[in-house]
Formats: sequence, structure tokens, C-alpha cells
Amino acid sequence: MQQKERSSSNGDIHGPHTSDSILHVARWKLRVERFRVPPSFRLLLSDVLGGLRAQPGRLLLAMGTMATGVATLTVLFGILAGLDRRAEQLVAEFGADTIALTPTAGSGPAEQTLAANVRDVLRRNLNGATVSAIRRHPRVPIGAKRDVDVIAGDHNLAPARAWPLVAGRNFDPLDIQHAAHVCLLTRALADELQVGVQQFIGLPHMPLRVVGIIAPSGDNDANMDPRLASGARFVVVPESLPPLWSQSDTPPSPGADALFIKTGSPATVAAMLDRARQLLHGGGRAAAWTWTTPDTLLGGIRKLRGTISLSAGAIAGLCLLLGGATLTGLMLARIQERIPEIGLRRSLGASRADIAALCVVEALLVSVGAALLGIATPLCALATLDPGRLPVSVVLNATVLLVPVFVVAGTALLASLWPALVAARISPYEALRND
Amino acid sequence: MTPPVLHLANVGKSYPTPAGPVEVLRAVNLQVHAAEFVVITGPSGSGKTTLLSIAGLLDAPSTGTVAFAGKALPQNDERALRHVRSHHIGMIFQRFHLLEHRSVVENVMFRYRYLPHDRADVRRRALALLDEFGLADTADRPARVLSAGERQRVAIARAVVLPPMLLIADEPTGNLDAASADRVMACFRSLHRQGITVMLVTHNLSLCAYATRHLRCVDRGLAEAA
Repeated sequence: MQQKERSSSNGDIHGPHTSDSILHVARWKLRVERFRVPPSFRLLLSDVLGGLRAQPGRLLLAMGTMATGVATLTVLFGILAGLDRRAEQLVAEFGADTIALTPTAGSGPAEQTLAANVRDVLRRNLNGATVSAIRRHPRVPIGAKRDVDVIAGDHNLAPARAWPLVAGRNFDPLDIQHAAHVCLLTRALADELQVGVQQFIGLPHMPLRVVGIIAPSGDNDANMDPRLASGARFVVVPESLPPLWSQSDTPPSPGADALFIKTGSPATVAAMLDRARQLLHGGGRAAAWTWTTPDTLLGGIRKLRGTISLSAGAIAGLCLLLGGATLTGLMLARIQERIPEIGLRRSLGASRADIAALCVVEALLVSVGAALLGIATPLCALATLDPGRLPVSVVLNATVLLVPVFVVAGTALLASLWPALVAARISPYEALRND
Repeated sequence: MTPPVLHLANVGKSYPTPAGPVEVLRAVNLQVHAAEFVVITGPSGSGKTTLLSIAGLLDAPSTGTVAFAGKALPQNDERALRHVRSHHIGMIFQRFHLLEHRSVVENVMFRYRYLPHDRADVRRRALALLDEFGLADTADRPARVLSAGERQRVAIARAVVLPPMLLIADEPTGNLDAASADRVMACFRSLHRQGITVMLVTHNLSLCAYATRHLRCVDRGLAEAA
């Protein structure tokens, strides 16, 4: 072993992989050779950088203008990406193939709780769908721990909400039928209480045996109706269980706070929604209930996204216009100053294309510099700020960072075309007379 | 027989103006042979610089033909013109046209900017030339700190670092004091002695002392001076 290490440290290569290693290194060398910058481009780059060094003030002005545009665009795209992510989380938590039915706020007391027979009507008539109902009880303390939510449901609740089982089992019809003293816990709560399957938790006046641990996705969201949000810390009990733990004097209302219909596929949500509406509205209670689908849930986000997209589009357009105009002005001014240099280059053998390339590459270099500055600013700002303090979520991923770069590079390319043509058309004779 | 380095045949040049075309040159015939030192003099506005631009292939004649080393150069063949310009003609201007932010040696090396070259070799030659012109100490200084005379010598070094078949100079001493002008003309003499063909335009008649041939721009044409 020592000998092997020694020989390796001497730079000798031994072992069965010797030829493979040499080939690997050779391949990499070949790749590096292949991607080496051509000398002509290196010279062009050196010319451009030399020219930019000679005019740092103008360069900084143009870069500053464009970098401001890029930073604004980056933040706006970041907010859009944040909204997209939030929407994905909301749908994931709610269920992409789920319809929820809740009593409309302000409807009559009789409508505030869904009649028990509604669930049965839907169950009987919506083939292939899983229908379940929940009733939320007031929060109760568990031991010395803080208060937790208690949700009553049937054996279809976990499948209808697509809450995956982490351990144990779901409720079965017998649990519901016999009002068994059993419960499901969320993983977060089980971890907090340090209890597992078949162990007991104590609600006031009622011990419950944990039969399963579920893992609902996401957290409670401010945008979602609290009756529909799953939350991360709650206990699910059989709906038939009398709420002896409740310290409230008011008897629990009959029925349910919300009904969930899991259609089985996002594609069938619309059809199932129509069918369910027909079934229930036949009873003359159309205005009494609110229907929530992934589409309606995202309505607010879509509206906000639309507004921001419009703002981003307007700002992007303005950036294109102002940045492009600034850059064109800068390039034209620089060409005026460099007329003798252009003449000299032409006298030394530069073609019109060489001169045009000088302008285009210069504009691209300025724009890429501005783009890097522009995306570095929000990145640094986000790194130093507490994301929780921001009014909106900002996600800066590769797409968000690259789009403004391409927008600005495209602007630079367009903005430099006219100056490039002007420069290329300068007669060397006239240029060398000029000073 | 060796063809002339430069042959202008019936070259004319006129510029369009709102009042009609203005003729600057008319039926100019000129042959410049290898190792000649031609000085062209004439008053301001007599067409000297226009003639030099046509000779240096920077401008196209309105009429007539230009041949370089026996080869006619069609004015629409930009590629051929560019090739001759970059490989065989060295140009020196009254206002030097140095790249101010670059060092002296980089300015000299700029002659090769659009030619394939070995950078180390070109740098060595540039430094040798700067040494020959008494500018070795200034090689790494930016061009903007040089005096006018030094700048013109740098411009000459740039023009000849790739030995040209024809060295064209437009009023090379026009912006210089007498002492600097003498040093610059000494450089020209030295280059001519090395066999480089020189064509120089000036209104300073004293420079004719360096010439092997003196031409005068008169009446939109060229005439041999007495």
C-alpha cells in the first residue's frame, strides 16, 4: 500500500486503469484545445477592451443604465417565478384532481353545515370519485404541548385529500361505524409528541390510539380558505366520535365544514364539477355553496401574475428602448471619436466586417457586463435580506437569471447594428484626413 | 525588366458637390520604381494628399488605373486592395494616428493586427526597430506621453516593422519643429538606404534634399521639378 502511494506521489501511474486514465486526460486536453479562443477573436477582444479602457466614464454610464434595467427585470421575473412556485405548492397541497365544496359565507345557518345526505348523493352518483367530508373542531391542548387542530373525517378522508400514509393504516369503515377511539397524526405532530403507531395520545377526557401517521404536503397557506388547508400539525379522528374533549358549551353542528371530491385525474375535474353541480343545484341551493377547484384556487395568483407580467413586459420594453437608445448613442459617439483609428485599421488591412465586428462585440461586451452587474445586484440583495421579511416570494433560478441576459444581449445586438454599419462605411481616406 | 512598384495611368479624381463635380486630379501618370525616394511638393489644395491616398489604395480614382508591382488592381476588388495595403504598403500620416492608450511597442506591433503573426517575433522586431530609431526607452510607455517628434518616429516604425515595398508619407514633418523634423527625415533616409521605396508628399521644399526624384503638383497634374 505504502509502496503504491509512494509511486503515485512520484508521478508514476500504476494499476489496471493506467491506460484509461491516460486516455481520459488526453480526451480532456483535446476538448480544452478545441474550445481555445481563436487568436483572431482574442485580438478583437483585446481591441475592444483597449477601446473601453480609454473611455471608462461613458462605459460606466451605459453599463449603469443597462444594469438597472437588468436588475429590475431580474427581480420581476424572480417574483413571477416565486408566484409560479407558490401556485404549484398550493395545488400540490390542495390536490390537482380535487374539488372542494364549502358553505358560502353569509348563507343561512342551515347551509353553514353541509347536510349529511349531500355526501351520500355525491358518493352514489359520481362514479370513480372518492368523496369525503371534514368537520373542524376547536383547537385543544395535548399534554403540555401547544394546542392542535382536530379534524373529524371518515375512512375516505386521507385518500380524498391524497395524504400519504407514512406508517400504520388509515381508518376503516368499522372505526367510523363503532366510533372507535383511534386517530391519525400528521408526521410533524407525531415527531413533536414523540409517539408512534399503536401508542396513545391524550385529548382532554379522551385517550386516542394512533393507528396511522400521514404526511400532508405543504403548509397552511394564507391564500387558501382555512377550511381547505391541511396544515402540518393536526389530529384526525373518526367523524362519529362524540367530541368529549371539547371544552365548548356549544354542541358541535351537524354535517360537515367541507366536502372533498377526488376525481382521480386533473383532466376529469371539469366534467366532475359540472356533474356535481347538476346534482346539488337540482335541490335549489345553488348560491349556498362555494366550489373550489385548482383553477379557482389559482385565480388570485393568476391575476397577480398577469399584472406583474404586464409590468415586466412594459419595463422590458422600456429597457429595450432606453438601453438600446443609450447604447446606440454611445456607440455613435465612440465611432465619431475613433474615426482616425478606424481609418488606420482600414489602412492596415481591416475589412468593413472587421470594423463592424469591433462595434458589435463592444456593444455585446458592455451589455454582458451590465447583465452580470444587473443580476449580481438582486442576488446579493436576496442573500443579505431575510426572505421572510419580503412581501412576496422571489425565486432566482437559472431561467430567471438568463432571460434578462438574453434580453439585454439581444438589445445590444440590435442597438449596435446601425453604428456598426456607420463605422463600416467610413472611407479610410476620409477617416485619415479627419482629426 | 522589373515593373514599377507603383504605376498610375491616366488617373483622375473628382468629388461631387452641390455645385457639380470638382476635379482635383486630371490624367495623372506616374511610375515609381524600386528604391526611389520620390518627393511630391505643391501648394495646399493642389491634390497632393488625394494623389497619395490613391497611391496608398485608400481611395479609388474616378478615372484611370492603378497597378502595383506590375499587377493592375481593379478598384472594386476590395480583397486584393486590402491584401496589397496590409502586406506591401506602409503609410505615415501628418497626425501620426497612434493609439494613445496603448504602449509604444504595441503601437508598432499594431502593423500586424490584421495579419497572421507570431506575437513574440513581432515584438522582438518592434523593439529592435524602436532601438534603431532611438526610442528603446519609451517602448512600454503609453503613446500619449511622447513628444510629437517621438510619435512620428513611432509611426514610421509601425509602417516599416513589416518591410513595405512602398512607404508613403503624407506631410510627415508638418507638425514637427526643425530638430524633430531632421530626426524624422534621418529615419527616412536610413530606410531608403536599406532599399525601401519612399513616396513623400510635403509643401516643405527643403525636404527635396532627401529625394532622388522631385515631382510637383501643378494644375491638377504632376510635373517633374527642375
